[in-house]
Amino acid sequence: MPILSVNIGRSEVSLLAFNSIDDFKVYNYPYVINDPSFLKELIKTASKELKIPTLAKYDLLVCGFPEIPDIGMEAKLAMTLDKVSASIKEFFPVFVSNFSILTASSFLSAAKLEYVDVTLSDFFPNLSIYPYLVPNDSLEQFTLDNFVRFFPNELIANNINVPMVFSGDRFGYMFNNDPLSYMLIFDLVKTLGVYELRVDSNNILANLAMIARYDDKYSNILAEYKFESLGVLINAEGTVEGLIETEDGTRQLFEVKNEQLFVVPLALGRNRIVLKNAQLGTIEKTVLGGTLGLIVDTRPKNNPEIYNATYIEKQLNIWANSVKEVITSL
Amino acid sequence: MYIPAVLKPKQENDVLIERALPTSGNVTAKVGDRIEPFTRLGMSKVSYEKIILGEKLKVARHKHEGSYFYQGEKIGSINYSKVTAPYNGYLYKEGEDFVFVQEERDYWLLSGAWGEVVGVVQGVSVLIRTQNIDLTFVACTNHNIQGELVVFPNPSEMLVMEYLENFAKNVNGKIIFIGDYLSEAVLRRAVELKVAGLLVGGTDRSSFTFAKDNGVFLGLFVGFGHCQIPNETFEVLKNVSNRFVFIQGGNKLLRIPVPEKFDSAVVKGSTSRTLLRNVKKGLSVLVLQKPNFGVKGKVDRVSGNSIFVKFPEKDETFEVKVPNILSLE
Repeated sequence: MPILSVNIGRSEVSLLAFNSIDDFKVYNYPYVINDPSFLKELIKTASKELKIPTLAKYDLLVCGFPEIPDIGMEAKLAMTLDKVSASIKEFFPVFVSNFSILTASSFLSAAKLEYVDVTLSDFFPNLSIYPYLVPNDSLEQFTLDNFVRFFPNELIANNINVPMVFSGDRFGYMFNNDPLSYMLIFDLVKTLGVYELRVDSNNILANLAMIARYDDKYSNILAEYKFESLGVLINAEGTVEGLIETEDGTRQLFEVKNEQLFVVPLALGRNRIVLKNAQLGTIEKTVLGGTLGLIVDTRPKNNPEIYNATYIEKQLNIWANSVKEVITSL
Repeated sequence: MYIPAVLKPKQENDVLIERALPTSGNVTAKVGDRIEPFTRLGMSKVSYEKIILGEKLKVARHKHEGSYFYQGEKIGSINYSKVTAPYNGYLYKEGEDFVFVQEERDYWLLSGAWGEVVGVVQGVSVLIRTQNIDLTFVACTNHNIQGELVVFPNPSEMLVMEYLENFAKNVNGKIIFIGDYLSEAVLRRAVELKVAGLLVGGTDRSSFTFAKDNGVFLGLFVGFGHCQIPNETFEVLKNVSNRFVFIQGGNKLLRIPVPEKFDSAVVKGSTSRTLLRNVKKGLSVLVLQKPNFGVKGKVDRVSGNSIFVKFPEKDETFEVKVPNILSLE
């Protein structure tokens, strides 16, 4: 039986009409109103857009957080996002919305206001009324991201040996390959180490995990799905020296000083990197590459003091531009 | 492309409203009574005003605790300054302090709604089954109030202060629909005039905080900033000026009692409609994106995730990113 999985976020509803791993369709709706009649009508409207002939013939799965919203219809499987997240083993999921972060092992809901200037404009009070609003300038977007940027370091554990996938409302409809979204991803990974980064710009991860959980036949679905690879993030303190060797044999030496963000385009493929750093030691690794490539980040991200006015006025522009250059060169 | 519609005025039947006496008194209504807004349900004695005069009051000769004073009569003096009675009332002591309490007056509890009495708590309150139109606030302070609704006739910003001054003698305890935007100057004046509640399209965050701090109800129909009231909301309000209304701040609801056989095109048109609208040229929309947050317009064209909106008073079109837009139809 085909499946319709619905993930209701804070500002976005993601629907996945699933027949098989080779035959599925995604519909993301950028409004959420927590009203059963609204959600029921949305599911019916989205079904038409997804070319579902008879909704009753689909098994309906629903995911929500912190509770499962009433959708005015009976679901075959209903799970909260934290349980869905904990069931994902193939990746380290990071679900981000405007005001929360949820990983496989932790959750932040009470964002600190001390780094967010809510008096900046009427945008923030209006966001409390219409939670789906999107900022229409980069300063508002940066300020909005600050609600989650300063989460405690412990939220993302050390020694993650699977790729990290950034998902949720923040990287769904609102994600359009903009430097600020990438900067947020870099800022959210604070602990030292080497991380493979992927982004779920279809906001499909929760729905895929629901399907894998619902039907054993699809238990490998997450391993098979190709999330967009952003590349490899090297989080380090102090100078990083290294060598990149691409699949076609090109070699490039580099050195990144302390408190810098350095992005080297690295195409998808088997790329070899060798790194030397006082904290990380010597690391030799084969990496996949991706949209951004190799990201070497030596900024002291554990220290929130770096995200001050100077950061916004000077450094943010410099760092965001280095990301932008890579994006535009692709 | 589909966008949600703003919440419309909605008629609710079989609504229960409790009307209570301010102090214990005599309830005259009986279960089964048919009632109208001016039907008297009961009566109690109420003292409306009280002044704390402090412990240094030197009471006038031949007067003492418990004495009655006529308005203008000397109560005594504080540090050689004469203190006169601002109204008829009695002098009492509360702890060490003298207090002057206005003479109790008859308070007649009126129904304020059309319907039937379905319950009575003797000496205290009456439960009424009625019907009303519900208007939803997008944000409001958390007060529950009730009172006479005064609707200013023009929802533009220019004349609001003038209207408020014209109504100034008679707005104590009333609920006023101001219009599209509430400025801080108008809010401050309304607080001075002891207005119970203000209803408006939008206001600034600082004004909202000021209202909260000063115990005045403030309800917003659209959001923060210079917003325009949806036509259907204004259509309902302008037809119910001087009606007794109920505000439930916790539920963000304005409940307007209506007669049993109430017939309104606005409410009828809004009940059977779906919540999502297909965006096409000419659709009336509410823009939720600066610099036109809260401004009404019409869809000119759609391109990808952008909707281009025309405003009636401007020639150019304005690009709005979905989801920063709602349907008004």
